[in-house]
Amino acid sequence: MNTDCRFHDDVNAFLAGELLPAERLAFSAHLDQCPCCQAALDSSSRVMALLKTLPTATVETDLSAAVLSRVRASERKTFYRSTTIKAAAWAAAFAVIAGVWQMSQKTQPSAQVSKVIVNQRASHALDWLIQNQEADGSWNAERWGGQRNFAPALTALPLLALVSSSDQSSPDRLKILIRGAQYLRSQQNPDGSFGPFFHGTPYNSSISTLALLHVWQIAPDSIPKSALDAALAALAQSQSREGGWDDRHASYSICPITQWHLQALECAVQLGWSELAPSLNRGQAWLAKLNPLPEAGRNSSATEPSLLAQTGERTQNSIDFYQTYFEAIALKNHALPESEKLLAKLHRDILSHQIVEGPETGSWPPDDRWGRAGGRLYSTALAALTLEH
Amino acid sequence: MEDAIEPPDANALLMLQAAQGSEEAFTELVRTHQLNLVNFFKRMGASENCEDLAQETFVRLFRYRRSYRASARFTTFLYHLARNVWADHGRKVLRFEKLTAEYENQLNTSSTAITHPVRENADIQDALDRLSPKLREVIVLNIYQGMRYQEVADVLGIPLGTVKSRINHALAALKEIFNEH
Repeated sequence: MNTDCRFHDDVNAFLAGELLPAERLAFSAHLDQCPCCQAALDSSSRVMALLKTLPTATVETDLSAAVLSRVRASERKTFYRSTTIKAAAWAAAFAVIAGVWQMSQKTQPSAQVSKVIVNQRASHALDWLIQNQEADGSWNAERWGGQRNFAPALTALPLLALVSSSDQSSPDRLKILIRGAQYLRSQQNPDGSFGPFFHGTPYNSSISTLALLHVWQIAPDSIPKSALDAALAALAQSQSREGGWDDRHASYSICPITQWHLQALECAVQLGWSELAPSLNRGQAWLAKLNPLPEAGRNSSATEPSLLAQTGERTQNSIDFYQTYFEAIALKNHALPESEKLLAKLHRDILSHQIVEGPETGSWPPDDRWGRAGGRLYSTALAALTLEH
Repeated sequence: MEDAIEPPDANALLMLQAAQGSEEAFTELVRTHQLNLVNFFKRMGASENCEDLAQETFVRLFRYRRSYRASARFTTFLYHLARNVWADHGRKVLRFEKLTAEYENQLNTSSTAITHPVRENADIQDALDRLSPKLREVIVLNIYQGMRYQEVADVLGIPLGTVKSRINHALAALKEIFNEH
């Protein structure tokens, strides 16, 4: 074949209809007089025809459900990295730094825990939670050492742990989430709040609302939007004039009520309740004021006894599940030089307390200062949430 | 090639709705393009994980939904993402870069150096697999995904002339493989 012909490179473009009109005319005129280009054209036509006989693969299942499940999980992770948490990130990060420093004075460093082990142990925790869901969709607070008044929050926390895990594609998992959400709905009061009226109502309401929002995001038909409207309205109405939700507390590590409210509001704003943005902004501003030493934090000398004193008592013998959870979020979202190492250590500490044999395998004993109220459901759900970060 | 007035791109409208939060629109896009994407990966040489790769592409489509501009064809955007997914997959199995390097070497030594052993009635997928990645992707996008040369150029981020040249190289190699002269 004469590949020196100046038209030779146009053969395939001509066949594909890709030549400009003038080029096409010129090539057509040339083709009548060039056996080489005619042969090349015939040959290309046969190859193209042959290629087009390749059978088309089929799709076994509609991919949309699996894709949506994955993007929702991804969105949730984005949510947890969002500004609410950043507002308190420095405080928590320093608490961790201080805690680790404190521990380093007492203990020798131990081996890192691999991500595979962390995922496996988190999976055991979720299995324990799944096994202990009641027939009505709840998790029984009293059965596991918690207080009955906190029943909504102690169902909402396991729901949050399950909804935050990366595996959402199982139909069984979805049923568990929907049953739990339906139980929470049964605990909602006419004013939108959840559970009995007592000092812990803000916990019940904010954590339940957050869990319902996440389940609604995955299965919108399972929860009427009006229920969420009422729940969110109740949260917004209970906000103090200063912007927080519990003025009795004065620092990040002991103001979780505001944290839960802000998580719920931020999730709602992201899901379309834009009218709640002002309330969210006020709450974030209030929380930011509690942020200790945001500038001094850039100086390593900030790990002073004052911070150590604030950090609390985390040692190898006890874990504060609440504080550890917020520390993990802060570390994950704040790129401190030591974050990765600190997070790994935090995971190691958490895992060292997990039950690994017997009927309660996968759970954590509720032996911190909040354990009397929350019991094993609280400790296990928060530990599982911590391991997701 | 004559300029034609493009009809309104329904995909672009769905994509804009998806960017504004419509899950229904996004679901419709997935259902519309899943079969083509699965076939894209199959013809690019994926073995059993075509659906996983298609899923990953749609996840990235969702992640970058707000980056999409209606001035660009939706399929250009989608297959740009798909190609990146395929490249990442190739890097993971340490295959893509090796084959690319081999192809680059072949191109550098001779423009007619792609001389695979001739075999009559070669299986078509096998023939595609024997092309270098760069040649295979222009054939897959042009012939199987039905893209014009300009759109192939847009997806790959290369000049139109390079597309034309690669298609010529690819068809020359396929003629060798199919014993077509």
